[in-house]
Amino acid sequence: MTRCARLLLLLALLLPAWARADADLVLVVNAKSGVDRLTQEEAVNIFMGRYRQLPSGIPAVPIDQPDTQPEKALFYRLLVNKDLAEINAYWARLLFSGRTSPPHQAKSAAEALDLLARQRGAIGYIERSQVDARVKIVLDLGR
Amino acid sequence: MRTFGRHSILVRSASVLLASFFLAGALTIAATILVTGERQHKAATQHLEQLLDTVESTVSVACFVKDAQLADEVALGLLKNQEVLSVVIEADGADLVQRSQPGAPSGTATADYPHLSRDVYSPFNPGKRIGRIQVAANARAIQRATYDEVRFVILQTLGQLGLVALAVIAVMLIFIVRPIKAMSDGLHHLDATRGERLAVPTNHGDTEIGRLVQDINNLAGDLADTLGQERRLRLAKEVEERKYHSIFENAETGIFIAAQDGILNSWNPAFARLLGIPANSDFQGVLNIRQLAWENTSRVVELGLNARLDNVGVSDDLAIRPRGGNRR
Repeated sequence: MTRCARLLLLLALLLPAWARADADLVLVVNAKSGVDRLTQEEAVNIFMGRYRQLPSGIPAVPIDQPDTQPEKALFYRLLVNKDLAEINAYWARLLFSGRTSPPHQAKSAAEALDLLARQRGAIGYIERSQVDARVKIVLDLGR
Repeated sequence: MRTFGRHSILVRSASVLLASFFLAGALTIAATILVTGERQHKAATQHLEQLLDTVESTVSVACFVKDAQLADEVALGLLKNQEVLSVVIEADGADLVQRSQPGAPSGTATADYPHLSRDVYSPFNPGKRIGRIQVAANARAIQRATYDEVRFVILQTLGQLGLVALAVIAVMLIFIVRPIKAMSDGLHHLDATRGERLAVPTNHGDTEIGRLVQDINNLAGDLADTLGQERRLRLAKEVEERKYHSIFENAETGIFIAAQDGILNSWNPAFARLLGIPANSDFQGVLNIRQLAWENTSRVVELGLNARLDNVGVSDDLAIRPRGGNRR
């Protein structure tokens, strides 16, 4: 492998990571949920199991991206400033009692978007570029 | 056994020693009781703080989602410590769980007990208070722990003081009392005039006991020398007395001893023969020198006065004229 080829390979590997770190995440709900805005605290309460109801009164169905998706780690970093290990430890404590459960974990980013589009109480995070008419941005998580 | 009698050094020393040890032990124990209670209270408080530190994050999660079961598990875990009497966990102003030791008062009934209270904050927002955990200390368990520690200190102190007292008594017995008793026994049977001396107790050649034995032996030697000298002087005096007695008895010259008033105290046989009076040993009455058959009695009186005034011996030839006899 030539030196130039090695450099290109390195760039190819680094580019997606750079792109993910620069991802612009937004919190979205189903367009028919009746919710227009959420505060960060409300988002925390819903995603961390404190309340499972949207301000409009319908049951909330939080949806997580797969663990493999870098958006998930970024989301929790932006939402509660914790890494995934801490989030998993948090849910491990609560799973014991069974009173609440972690967000539904989609198998892929596409499935997450599909769930958000189909379920009225669904709430999840996606990149701003993926937002379409089926979902509504309720909180801008920023970068 | 006189060694251990009421007045022996060992008994007196041991009594003073034991009294001192008991006093020191009592002071130590009193100080321990005062200090231990406070220390146990602090230790219990510190332990409760540590327990709260341990469960703080779980309680925070339980309060955040108001999970009574998780809070209950935390409370049960805390109550496995005997120092915890009761646990109350509140979330948003309402009791999430209340637990207490079996048989112990619960809830507000434990308000008078020493307790720790700590605010619980959101696991995702450290500035937001979402509940409170209150842990009441088990005063009875703390008292029991205090009692156990005090009892241990008492036993330890008494054991140490007892061992030290035994050691001191043994040392006194071996190094002081027994040598002194051996010296005393030796002195009771010692005849210093025969040259007997005290033996220095074993291993006391260079000690104070050894020096005391040497001093006693030196005194005994000096005493024996003095007694020997006194015996020799007495013998010499007896010889001299016998010699003068022989002279007194056998002299041809009349010799007498008279008091100031002229009463004769003693006279020799020659004096009796010359003056015609009974022998001194046979005479029972009182005889004055003026009553004797002097030719010139006043001269005798004069000689007696001179001897008394000048405090020197006087001598003179005096004529006597026995009754019915010739002048001599």
